Amino acid sequence: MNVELAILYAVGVAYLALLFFIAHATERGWVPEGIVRHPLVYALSLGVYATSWSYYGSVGFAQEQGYNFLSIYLGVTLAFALTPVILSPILRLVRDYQLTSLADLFAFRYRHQFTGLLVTVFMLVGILPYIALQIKAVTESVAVLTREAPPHLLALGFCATLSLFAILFGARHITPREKHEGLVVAIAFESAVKLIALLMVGAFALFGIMGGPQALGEWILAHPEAMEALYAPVREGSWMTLMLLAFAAGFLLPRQFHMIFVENMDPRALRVAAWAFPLFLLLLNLPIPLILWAGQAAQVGTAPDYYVLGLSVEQGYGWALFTFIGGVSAASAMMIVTTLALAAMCLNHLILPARYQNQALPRHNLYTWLLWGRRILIVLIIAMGYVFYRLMEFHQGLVQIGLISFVAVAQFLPGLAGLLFWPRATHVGFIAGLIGGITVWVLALIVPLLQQSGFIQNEFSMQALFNAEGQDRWAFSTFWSLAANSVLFVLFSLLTRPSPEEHEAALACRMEQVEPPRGQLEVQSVKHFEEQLAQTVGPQTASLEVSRALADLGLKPTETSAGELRRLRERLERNLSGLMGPLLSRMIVDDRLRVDPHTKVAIADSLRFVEEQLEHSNIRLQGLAAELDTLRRYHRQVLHELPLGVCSLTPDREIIIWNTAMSLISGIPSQQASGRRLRQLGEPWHGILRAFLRGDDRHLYKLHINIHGASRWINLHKSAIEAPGTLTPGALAGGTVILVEDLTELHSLESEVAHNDRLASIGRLAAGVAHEIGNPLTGIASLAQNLKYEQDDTEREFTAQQILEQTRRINDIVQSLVTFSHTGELPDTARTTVDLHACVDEAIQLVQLSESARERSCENLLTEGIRIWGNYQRLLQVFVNLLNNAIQASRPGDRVRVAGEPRGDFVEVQVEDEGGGIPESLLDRVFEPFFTTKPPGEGTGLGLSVVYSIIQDHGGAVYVENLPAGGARFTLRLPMEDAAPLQDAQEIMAT
Amino acid sequence: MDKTLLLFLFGVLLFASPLVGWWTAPGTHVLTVYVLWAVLIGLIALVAYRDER
Repeated sequence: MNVELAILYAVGVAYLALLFFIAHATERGWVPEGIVRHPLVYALSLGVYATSWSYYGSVGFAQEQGYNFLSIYLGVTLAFALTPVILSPILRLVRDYQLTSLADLFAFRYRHQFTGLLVTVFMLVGILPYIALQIKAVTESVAVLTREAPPHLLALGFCATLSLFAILFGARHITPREKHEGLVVAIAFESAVKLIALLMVGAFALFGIMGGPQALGEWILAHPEAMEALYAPVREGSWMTLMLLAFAAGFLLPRQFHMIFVENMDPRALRVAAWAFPLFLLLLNLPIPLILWAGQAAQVGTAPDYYVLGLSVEQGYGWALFTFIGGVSAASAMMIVTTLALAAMCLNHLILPARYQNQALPRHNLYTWLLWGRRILIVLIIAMGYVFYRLMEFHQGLVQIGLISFVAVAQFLPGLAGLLFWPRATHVGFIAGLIGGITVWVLALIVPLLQQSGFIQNEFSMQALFNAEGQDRWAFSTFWSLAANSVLFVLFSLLTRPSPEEHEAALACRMEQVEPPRGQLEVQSVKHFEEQLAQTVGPQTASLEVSRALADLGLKPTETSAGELRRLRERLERNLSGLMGPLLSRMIVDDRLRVDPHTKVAIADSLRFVEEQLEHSNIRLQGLAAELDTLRRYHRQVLHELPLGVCSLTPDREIIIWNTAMSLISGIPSQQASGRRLRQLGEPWHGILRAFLRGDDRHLYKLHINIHGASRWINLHKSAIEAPGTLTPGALAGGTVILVEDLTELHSLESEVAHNDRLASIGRLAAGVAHEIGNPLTGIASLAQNLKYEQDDTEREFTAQQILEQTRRINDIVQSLVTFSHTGELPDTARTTVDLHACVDEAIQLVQLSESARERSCENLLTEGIRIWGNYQRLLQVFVNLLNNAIQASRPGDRVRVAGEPRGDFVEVQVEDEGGGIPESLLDRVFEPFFTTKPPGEGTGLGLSVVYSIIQDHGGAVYVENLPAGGARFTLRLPMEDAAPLQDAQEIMAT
Repeated sequence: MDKTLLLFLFGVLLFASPLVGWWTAPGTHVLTVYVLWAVLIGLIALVAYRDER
């Protein structure tokens, strides 16, 4: 190796080291996230499409075929114009199902082991000429710079160095499914270098050789044949064929597929790339005619393929070195990304299935085994490229070699069309079509290559066989290979039927999967998942994969819900697909995490699955189906947005609906409750709902429950759901719907109103209280005065006794007030046995403190010994309010009577006055809050509404009527102690 | 989707139909093909931008 060669090699290695440093810096987080994830960086990374072919070969292509060289980029532009139709659906599939290559994609859709194998082998063989092209371009570019024949050692050294960097770039991570942000940024940088280098050579050609824009214009005018040489081949040559080949290559070449889909970090970036990547290609190709004309004008002593380098040499050695770096950059980026993609394909579709079938998958350190497997494959693929380069005697230009690979890649177009648009396509059709296409490709393009290289000695020519020797070879080979492929694909697809797995995959590809899952999982817990998987992939990998899937779904290791476990299984299958390919992951999951097809899937799971699929599917419902679907969505939305808690259950107590309000009331999210059995809810809800379902009552009012230490009051209502008229298997078969009303806020408001009413009553009583306390106090004062002068012990003792008597009287008054006014000492729910007679007595004592009561009398005629189950304090408030009301309606001298007696399970209490009664028109309104007939400032209008509310709380009722003789009668109907309908939550839960 | 298909058909019409004869006719400016290409890219960007909105 001479000094010049050593410098070039060192420069090349240094540049690759720089790329590696950029990748490393990105993955370490030294490059800002905004740059790494910028859509333009992603678009630039797709510039890996432009290899040595574009960098060097375009000028030679333009020399031979004029503007035909642009078809290779215009075809890509047309492919990217179809981003929403073709590229976005593929990206969705790749992301959703964690596919890592084109072989994975086809194996996912055309479910057969041979599919992945055939695609991988053909892709490998089809891309070898392309890899060989890169090696040829680099070695020949060295020859241009050193003006010596390149030593084979150089090619070998280039391949060895690239192998090392390919491993460093893409095979450092444990799993292939991880995104390589560093690789994306490094390839984007590499694209920028290529673009800048070519634009600089173009600028030199324009200003350094052609003499500037004006001189160029004059040169063009003086050389119309140069323009004609550019345009004429487009009119006459293989423009359309090349466009079609480039259309396919734009996203089906392994490196393109890898960068567009596998390394995509944000689907939105693809929309930017749809125009930014073609713009990059346009800029890259802008200087090509200039470089061609400048090379011709300057009579550069190289082949037109290397005019780019030859012109740079004219400019100076430094320029030439930079241009050389651009070429190394183009070749190395292509080889690195291509070998990464091919290695993943080979591992997933050649090595792993063979090991799995022989039950030879490593059970320890699977990740390390996969990592080393990929590394060895990278080295092998580059070595194969090198062998191909050495064995083949390339008599063709760079572009001609590359087009062989383009025709190979185009063979995947029919299969891809079937994948995206034709659910009827089968793996038999795909394989038959591909074999047909490959056969024509080999006969039309590879055989001539082998003949030229001396491997085949005969004179066979497929074009001669078809009597088409005069035809363009690319048009001929492309047409016949694609025709054979498409015809066989359609024919064999129609002759065979898609398997159920293929049918399912076809629906997934078209986002039309709406079939409910069938059968229940045999595994019942997360731990069981790990144990089952460990039998195939080893305990360490099984544990890590299950943990990862749990984290992806936000599930806990204690999860036991059948629906969630099914989701976990699906997730595991997808994650394993990213690790080992879709076919093997399906085989492992089917084998280890079995589904019993004879068992019934939980209805909620089926419903949720179908709804999710409908939400995300591409199915366009039409006509009545669309109307019904709109109605279904509307009803579901109504149910979910209802301000009442809704819980519907199947007859076997599986929760189907658990709406938003129910989640808020219970604190249990809908996704945790739906699909579970009632018993899995946990307390207190399991106990409350179970007791209510078992009971005969269709309504339960003011149920007090305790949730996490906080009191809540709820009403419960239930109704049976009639089974639909015609039952199909798996359809809903009736059940129960429970409505839950949260009354906690209302209850707080009622308590507040009652408290305010009590305070108002105390205010009204204040004057009477002062009077009542003032009298005994005056008596006490007089007695105390007398006591000072009293000498007789008997008299003193008598006086003291009288003082004590007066004090007790005051104490009674104060105690009554205290009892009446206290609200917070006992909760409203604190219920005890209440002696109704005593309660009325105390109420009379209280109301008689008021001034207005002095000239009216209150009589307690209630039968003694009546006891009810209730809240003493609140019942006291009822009687105080009713007596106050009666006294205020009475005239001086009138009587107010409280009477009553038991009637069956109830006690009826009447409070009557002898006043003017209530106008008939107002009788219906007296219990309304803030309704009063008194002048403003004299009544709050709350008294009777509080009475109504308290009696309702006690499960009773209150009525009002006018007496024939004048006056009004309020009748309370309260349940006796033994018949109390309200029980607290503990009692209900205990039943 | 409709706009995308229309755009694709426009591209096919411009670059992969007998209309190619129009912009490759003798006397055509050297940059004509690049200008047409740039117009197509501009339309792709426009459709992508409108779809995103």
